[in-house]
Amino acid sequence: MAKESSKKKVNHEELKRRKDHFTFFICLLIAALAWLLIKLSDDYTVSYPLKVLYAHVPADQILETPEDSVVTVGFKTDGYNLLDLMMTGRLKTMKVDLSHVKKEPLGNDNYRISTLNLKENVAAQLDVNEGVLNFSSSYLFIQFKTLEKKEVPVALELQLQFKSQFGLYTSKISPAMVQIYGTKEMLDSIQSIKTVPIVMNNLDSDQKVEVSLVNPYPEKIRIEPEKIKVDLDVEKYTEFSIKVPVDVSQISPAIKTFPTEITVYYNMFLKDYKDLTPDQFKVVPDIKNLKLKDVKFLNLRLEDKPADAHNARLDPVSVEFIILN
Amino acid sequence: MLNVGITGNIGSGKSWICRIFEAMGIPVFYGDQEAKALYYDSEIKQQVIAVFGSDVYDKDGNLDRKKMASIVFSDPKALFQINSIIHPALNKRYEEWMLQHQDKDYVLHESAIIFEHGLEKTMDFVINVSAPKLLRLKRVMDRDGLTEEEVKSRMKNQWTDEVKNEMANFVLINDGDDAVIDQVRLINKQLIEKNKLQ
Repeated sequence: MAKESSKKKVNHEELKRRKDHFTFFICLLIAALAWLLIKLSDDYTVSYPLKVLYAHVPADQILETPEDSVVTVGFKTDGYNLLDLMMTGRLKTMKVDLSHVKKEPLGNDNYRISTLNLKENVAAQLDVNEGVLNFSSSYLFIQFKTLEKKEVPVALELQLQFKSQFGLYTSKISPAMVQIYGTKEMLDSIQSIKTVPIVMNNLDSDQKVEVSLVNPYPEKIRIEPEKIKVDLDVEKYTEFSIKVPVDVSQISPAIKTFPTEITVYYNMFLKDYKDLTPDQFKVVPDIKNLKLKDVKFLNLRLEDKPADAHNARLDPVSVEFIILN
Repeated sequence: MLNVGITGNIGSGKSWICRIFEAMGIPVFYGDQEAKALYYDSEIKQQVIAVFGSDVYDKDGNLDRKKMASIVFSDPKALFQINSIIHPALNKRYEEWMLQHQDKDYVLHESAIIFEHGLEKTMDFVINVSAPKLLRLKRVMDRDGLTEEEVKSRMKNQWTDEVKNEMANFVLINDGDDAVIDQVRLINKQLIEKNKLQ
């Protein structure tokens, strides 16, 4: 009985000690929070190096200024704003819009930009008063290099899959030609600009898409515009077949093929449908670099077909022959 | 001059092979086509009507092939009767035709039913054009626009390639892979030599 009473007394003391610790830590936390709020309310004078990012460089020019140009910005602000600036990453870069900022020419494509002209934008970026903002240097110096210009066609990169019996009838690119800017050597090596691949599946209707162009040398050339519009006209087609004689009239010595006529299978869009006749097709044996006496079969080639007949294939693709005496 | 038969099952490509022989200067008698034409010979037509009735020809005078086939394939006696009318006339035509080609080393007589009708006994040699059954099936379906069942039904009435190859003097493989012109050349050369030995 005495032992049990002693045990209860110990538990009671343990609970009381824990309660005291908890109260102490709560008080400590409130005090720390109060201290933090007081400190955040204080004003601080700080300076940070910001990387300068130039935007809207004229299309026919390239900036020669090193990419890593940095300017140190000093300003005064309260702790709340400073914490916000650090957490949102706004203390890392400074954007300079070259299409709006005043540039003072220094000759030979060199310019300087007064940091005074940047104050308004930077103050807005940092959410501080212009009056408390200062830059480590009075000017930013930049140098442009004027580029050559060339107009090149756009090459459409398509990876399309269609529903059964549907196909691409036409594609329209707008604009079909784009301007590229760069050094003469660079421009001479580029004959066309590709689009990023347009990947679409199960197509059975017309499509309109805006697609980016692929810059083969992003550091050295500039493309204007950077995106184009593409209209894809998707139409239904049907497969047809026609018997066409193998034309051996141009082959010497004269030969006779077996069979003498073959089947040409082709697709035709329904909107183009018309009856085609064998004389609109020309199938010839491919005898280039061949000695007739050394071969048993001649591969066939579709030399001519109407423009409306698409994806033509031959059956058979080769024929036997005899040389006529 | 040798009298050479060339046969092969439906879709084997025997007509195509005959065109190659023709291109090499060998005369070919197309027995099956000639037999079909005989039904329109006035003398033969009268005999056919006398035996099978006038309704085997339509009002335009064209032979109703389906009706004729249904009669002769269901009644062995009818088959014997029609063969008795057509075969003598066909043989006569063939003999007349052969006379025109006496200067040749050999002539070819193309028919799908040489062995089935025992015509090989009247010939010096027989060439069988052989092709795999599946390939023949596809060829006829593509060529005649028939269903698989319809083609198989026609094939059922013919002897197998194995039997015909066994009975033939020459076998020409037309399986789409082997070059047939070389085989034709070889057979042509052997037939010319055999004619010289006669």
